[in-house]
Amino acid sequence: SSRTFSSLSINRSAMDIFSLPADCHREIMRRLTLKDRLRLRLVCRAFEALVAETNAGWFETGSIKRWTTKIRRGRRGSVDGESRLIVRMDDLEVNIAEDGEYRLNRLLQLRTRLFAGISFDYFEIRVNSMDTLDFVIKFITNFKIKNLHFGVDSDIELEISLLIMALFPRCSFTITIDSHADSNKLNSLPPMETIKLFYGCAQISTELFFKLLSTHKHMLLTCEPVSFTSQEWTRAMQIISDDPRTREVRLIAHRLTIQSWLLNFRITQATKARQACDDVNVTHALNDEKEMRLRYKNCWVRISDFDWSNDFCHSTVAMSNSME
Amino acid sequence: RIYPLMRVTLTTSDGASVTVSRQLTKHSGFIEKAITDMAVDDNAVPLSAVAVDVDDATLKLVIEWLTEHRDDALPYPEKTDEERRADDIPAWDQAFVQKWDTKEDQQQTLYAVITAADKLDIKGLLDMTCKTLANKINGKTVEEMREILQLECDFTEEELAEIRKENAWCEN
Repeated sequence: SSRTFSSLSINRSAMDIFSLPADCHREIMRRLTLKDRLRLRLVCRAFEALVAETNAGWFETGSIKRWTTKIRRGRRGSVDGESRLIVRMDDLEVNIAEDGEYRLNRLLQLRTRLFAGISFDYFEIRVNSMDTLDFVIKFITNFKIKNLHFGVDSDIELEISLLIMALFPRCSFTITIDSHADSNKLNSLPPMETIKLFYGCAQISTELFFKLLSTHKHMLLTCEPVSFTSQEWTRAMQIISDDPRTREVRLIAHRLTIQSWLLNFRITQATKARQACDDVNVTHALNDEKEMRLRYKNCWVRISDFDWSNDFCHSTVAMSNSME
Repeated sequence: RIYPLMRVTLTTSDGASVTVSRQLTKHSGFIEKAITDMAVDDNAVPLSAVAVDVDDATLKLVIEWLTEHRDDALPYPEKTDEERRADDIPAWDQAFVQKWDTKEDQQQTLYAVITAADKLDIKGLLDMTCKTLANKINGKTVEEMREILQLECDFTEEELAEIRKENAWCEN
């Protein structure tokens, strides 16, 4: 015995790309570059519409950056010059003088004709004007971003970054802050995958350091917590050791601060490798490259550029619960 | 479940029929669902008939591809958002598609196989043929795209000029 199951049929003779199912259009269109999409817009009306209606797919990186050029005025310093906006996505780059809403609106119009949505593994935003914020928010609507990075060089940039972060709660965030930022704003940052504070050799308060340490997963600081005591070093190592997530923190510290901390654990210039001093194991004694490695519970510590005798040296301290 | 002894007769939209092993049809979500919906007892019914929405010539190509891929792992891996490669088509599949290039209706053949893969829910074939079509378009000029896709320009000169002006923003 046998049974039958019936369905509709394909008319092969009249087929063109627009007779394919919508799923197929999506599969084809998400594999093309953005430059391909620009050219497809010119093929015919139906393709111009298909380009606008489909998702552009996944790309590794993209960015929106705005900055203002400086014009030198001799000894009187410099004044603001032209503001430029650069948008990069895949193989496309738009570089325009941002001189009013007209160009931004045209750019938004082009974006809506180029794709309905787009995905990025990493997208960077560096915007230094509230006037541009509205454009950025509209431009990245329907963007699916895995890692959203912010470059910050002023309080206004940090404020803009905070506003955008609130609109993308599902993203993983990273931030690089290149100049002193308002502590209240720093405290209000949501958890970052990585926060980098490039403050030169300046100092931050110990309270702010621990607030950042408890909030963000990875930290890279080119600054030193003020008056960091041995107990506070131990507290920092304990926090990292106890965290089930992979953590890494790097910071700058003065030689005397580190020396006081090491001596508190009875680690001296004469301490040998694999020697236990209280809760700390010296896994690698100080070598010719001025590097020393310690282990406190589940926190591994690497001290670089350390010198027992040079009062003016600063060292880098890297603490992690996944080293070695 | 695999039914190596059970065979399925597929009847095409243009009236032909062909009998194939379940080892091939297990890759088609449509055929498997049709058999399931018929509530066939595999031990009692050695042959099932399923009408498919595909013409005879296209079905022959689909069966040729299924025969080559009969041992492919199932279920077909779920696609992620990140998957956008189109340059990873296996050599046998590339040669399989290139054979159609000698046919006058090569583009229609590709469209027909894509449509058949979609209707029969054969994910591997659909994936491969969509990648093939994307590769044909990728990096081509507008004129080449029109030629490959066999499409006529229906814009006015003014409309084309306006789109070129918009596109120029991204081509500096």
